[in-house]
Amino acid sequence: MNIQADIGEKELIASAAAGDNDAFGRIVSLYEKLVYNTVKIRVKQNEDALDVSQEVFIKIWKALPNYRGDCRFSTWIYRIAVNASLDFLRKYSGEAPENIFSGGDDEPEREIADEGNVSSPEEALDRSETVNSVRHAIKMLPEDMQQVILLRDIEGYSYAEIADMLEIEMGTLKSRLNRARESLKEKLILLNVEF
Amino acid sequence: MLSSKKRKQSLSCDDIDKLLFEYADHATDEITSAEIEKHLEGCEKCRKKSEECKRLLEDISKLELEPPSELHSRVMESIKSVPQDRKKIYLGRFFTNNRIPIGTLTAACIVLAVIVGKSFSSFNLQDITADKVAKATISETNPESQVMETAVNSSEADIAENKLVFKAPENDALYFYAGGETAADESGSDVTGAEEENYTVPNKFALKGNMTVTAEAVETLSPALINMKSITAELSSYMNLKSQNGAELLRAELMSEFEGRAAIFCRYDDLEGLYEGRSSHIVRKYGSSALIISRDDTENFLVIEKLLRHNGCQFDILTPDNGEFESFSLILLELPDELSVKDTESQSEQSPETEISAYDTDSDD
Repeated sequence: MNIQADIGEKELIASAAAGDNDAFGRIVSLYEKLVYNTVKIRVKQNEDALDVSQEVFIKIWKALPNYRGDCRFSTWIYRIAVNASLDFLRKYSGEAPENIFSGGDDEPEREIADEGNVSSPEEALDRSETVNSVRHAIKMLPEDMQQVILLRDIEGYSYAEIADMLEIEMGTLKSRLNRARESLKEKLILLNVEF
Repeated sequence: MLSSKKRKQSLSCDDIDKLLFEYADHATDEITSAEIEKHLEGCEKCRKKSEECKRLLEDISKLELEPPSELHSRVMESIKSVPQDRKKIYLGRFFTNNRIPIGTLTAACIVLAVIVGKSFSSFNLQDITADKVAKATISETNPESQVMETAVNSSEADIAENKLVFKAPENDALYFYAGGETAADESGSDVTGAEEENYTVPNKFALKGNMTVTAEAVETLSPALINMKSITAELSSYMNLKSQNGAELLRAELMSEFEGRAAIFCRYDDLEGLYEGRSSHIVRKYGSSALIISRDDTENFLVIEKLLRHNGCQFDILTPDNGEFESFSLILLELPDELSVKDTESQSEQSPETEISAYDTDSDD
């Protein structure tokens, strides 16, 4: 995914800022994954994550006319999502956050997209199990590691975008990302997962 | 990233190991990538690790953490009732103490009838500034005797030069107009009910004192249909801009300080019939309407909402950020001069019967 490459994004933002619901709907489509998953990393229940995500988009909708393009749009949205999550946690402090990478108590595990080139059903099953193991391993990581993996390896944001969002230097990002991936690898080894 | 000193030497397996994820992610620069590839050609152990890194990144990328499908629809539904933040405009308090007999107010307490006309197409939102806003406060000071008092701050009214017009033309409904011209004395005007055809109070007088509506008039005010021309202009702009895909701009402004109230903005033909004879003639003439519901009227608010939904009406519900209803407020905006003239002319041309055409702003001076 390369949202930044969307040449129509500026126009989309301008239209949405002018009150165009359809344009905003497209923005929601583009960023709902980022918002929801960023929120879900931090808040406990799926329903809470849904509520907070909705609140994030309402905040975005309200604040759109004031978005001046001083930072990347994705960064702006990410920060709103993080702040809303933190607000939520402040309100309900003491509750251990459930993890984005777990399906949650109230919903089945999400389907893993089968994008790999597999040659047999058995192999497909193996890969699917591996991917599910990856999900479990990720949830064992610290939040900051989860976040960089989410943004880079799942959401596909550019390094520059992620550095902006997290307000860290590129070198710090690369280092954190490398540590996150190495840690993940270690967890998977502990889980006896072959990859 | 490796230091330049290390770069001059060939990369060791440890060096390579630290770069494999970055390499697998295509994030190493060209020179580093070439060095890694060269190393991998001759090092089976690192090559195997490199493959592992690539596979792991592939596996991670398959974690499509899709948000719940209802998120999108919930967001889109919710923003219908949420204004965007824009420059603030002044909202005058209208009812500071909402104790009007709710039962007699039917569902909504106030209908802001709105004029929609081509004359407003040139309305520029930038013209709406704080110094063009008048302030009016109408409060019920004696609930027992059902006396509603109108008090308007004169200094603020001088800015706008609006007038308040009380009118009871038909169907026992009262209209409040800005831009009226009938007499009122400086100590205020007593309005005694619907027997009179018109109650019109020039601002300059009304603003110096309190205008009192007696119990009889309060009865008549149920379901108070209050139309202020200046608000009409504001909402008209909104409605017009809507067709030009700019509606949310004005609504956002309207709602930016929408404290303590909730409102439903309806298309006029959706509202028509809801209040039967009481409002249909208004909406027919003025185009669209807003119901503003008070704190104490939340039950009716829900009833109206259900009713509108049931009838498939198009409407927006606007609620204050804090979700609490405290009081009514209305916005009094002065029309830009050129617009006022155009509006008046247009109204006269388009609808000679329209009451508001009788209160030509030009004639106020």
